[in-house]
Amino acid sequence: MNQQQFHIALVDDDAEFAERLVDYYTARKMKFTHFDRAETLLSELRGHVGGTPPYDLVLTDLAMPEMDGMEFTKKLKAIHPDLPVIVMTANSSVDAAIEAIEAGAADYIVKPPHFPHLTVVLQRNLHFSQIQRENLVLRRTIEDSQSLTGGIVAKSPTLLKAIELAKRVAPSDATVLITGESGTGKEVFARLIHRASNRAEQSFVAINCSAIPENLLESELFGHAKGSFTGAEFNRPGLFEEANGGTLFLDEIGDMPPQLQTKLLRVLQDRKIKRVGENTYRDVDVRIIAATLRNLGQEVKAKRFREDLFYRLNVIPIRLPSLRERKEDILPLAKYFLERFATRYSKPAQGFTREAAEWMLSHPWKGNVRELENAIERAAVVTMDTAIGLDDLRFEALDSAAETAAIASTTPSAESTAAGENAGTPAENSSAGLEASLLDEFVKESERAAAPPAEAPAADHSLIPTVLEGEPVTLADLELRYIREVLDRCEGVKDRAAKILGIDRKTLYRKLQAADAAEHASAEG
Amino acid sequence: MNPSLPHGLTLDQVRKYLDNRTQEFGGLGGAIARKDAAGLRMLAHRIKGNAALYGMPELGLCAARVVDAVDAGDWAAVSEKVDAMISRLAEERARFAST
Repeated sequence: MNQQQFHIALVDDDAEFAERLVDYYTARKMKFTHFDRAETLLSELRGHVGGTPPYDLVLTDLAMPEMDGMEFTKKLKAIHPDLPVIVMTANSSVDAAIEAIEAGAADYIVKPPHFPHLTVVLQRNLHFSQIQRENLVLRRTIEDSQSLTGGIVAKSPTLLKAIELAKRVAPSDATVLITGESGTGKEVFARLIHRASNRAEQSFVAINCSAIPENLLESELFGHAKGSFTGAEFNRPGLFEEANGGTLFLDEIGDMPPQLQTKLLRVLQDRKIKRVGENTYRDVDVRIIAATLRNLGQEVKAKRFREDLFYRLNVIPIRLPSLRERKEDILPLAKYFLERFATRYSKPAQGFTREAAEWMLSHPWKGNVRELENAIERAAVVTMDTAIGLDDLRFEALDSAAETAAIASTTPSAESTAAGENAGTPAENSSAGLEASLLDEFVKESERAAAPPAEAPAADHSLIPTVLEGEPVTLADLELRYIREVLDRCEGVKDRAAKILGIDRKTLYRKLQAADAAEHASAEG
Repeated sequence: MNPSLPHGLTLDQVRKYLDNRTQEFGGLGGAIARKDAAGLRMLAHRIKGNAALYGMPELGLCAARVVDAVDAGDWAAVSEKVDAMISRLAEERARFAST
């Protein structure tokens, strides 16, 4: 196990004991921070309620003046139920340690510790804690992927309208053309349509037509026969066949070479494909969703895109607004990304300062949601605070002299002006009132998130407490519980569950059958 | 004689530890006279937990016996066990002084 990344809080009033422990583990690249009073650590951790604590584990003595280890463990678990606590006791009787475990401690060791034994206990609990965090991220990912609008944060009327249209057209097999600037989420929308369609159980296959050299794109789309060109050593199906029964997403369709446009048109008309180097046609049942950042109408006028193909693709046009056009979504999106990245990187940030929120609303976001996502990821990684500040965010923007000038003014009115200048549209120049109300609401919400609650929040985990609160379980048991939870969430649809679990359907069946057999044997035995 | 030190421990750290104990033990007689059970127990409890980390497991055992005697409320035994702990500390000082 890589110990480099772990940070342990050690609570012990015995400075000499702590010194030895810190020395020993510092040499082994495990970071310890010593607290001689439990209350000091508790105060620090109260600042992280609802978020990720800055420590991976707490190692505490039981016998301490003022607050003892037992009381400390109870208080700590009330505010950070997922943070593992290991208690140390110098008592030969382990009753107190058992009592501490009942109070929520994950494990105990007897003082003086035998360092190799302590190392094993620490590693085991750190590993478990890491799995807990991964599980949390995984559960959020599953929740996102299963919700119809997973990964789309929308409050603005323009985007809500686009979502509504996407949901309405999803059940049909009509071809959809999604347009929008780079980073507006065209593929996310395509996936939304696929998930809401009757083809949701089948494949969603995506290809970026501009990312593949022209001479390879045809083979990639339609497949090829062995020996049809140099390097074609095997028969290979293309993406149309791979997506058969499902959805094929053709991104950057505006960059498709003219020769392939003709072939694609034929597929759309006849629902048949021919592999490169073959003479026979194969039937395919594929729903096409295409996307482009170009104005295809203009491309048609400029004779760079076939008019007949344009009409074939443009059956259901969906235009995604740029982030500048949906300012109401900037702060909710920022919050959504921050929650995701703070969890992924175990970072303390839970909100934004007012200055940071103002800056986000005034920034032009030329790279749209993708740029915002990258900015929040970077800020979540670099910040040391519970609130993302202006300096964390504008790291990259400072490369641009114009933007530096625009954000130099810090008064809200100046920033609203700067926003108008950056965006350069009349609509945005008149959006100062909207921004102010969004900002007030968002900052209030951020402050609520950063403030410790009056009472410890109820734990919002289903699987982990099941494991923690009961008897320790084997890895196989844990795996089975997780599989069943995913199956429940997929309403018993094994194909979908297998995909989420990253295993094939046969493996899923085998595991479930083995579990059933074991349970029968156990019931009979 | 060159006593073996636990991995990563320096002789300076050990000597500092011994100096701290010597200073602490100066108050033991008074604590026994006052029958300061809490103070004695806390001191012995700490030594029980940390002496082995400084290469002195025997001193830790002596401290454990003091804790047991205090817990039993047997002050004659407390006095005897404290004396044994003080003697052990002297032995440890001699052991490390010779290196």
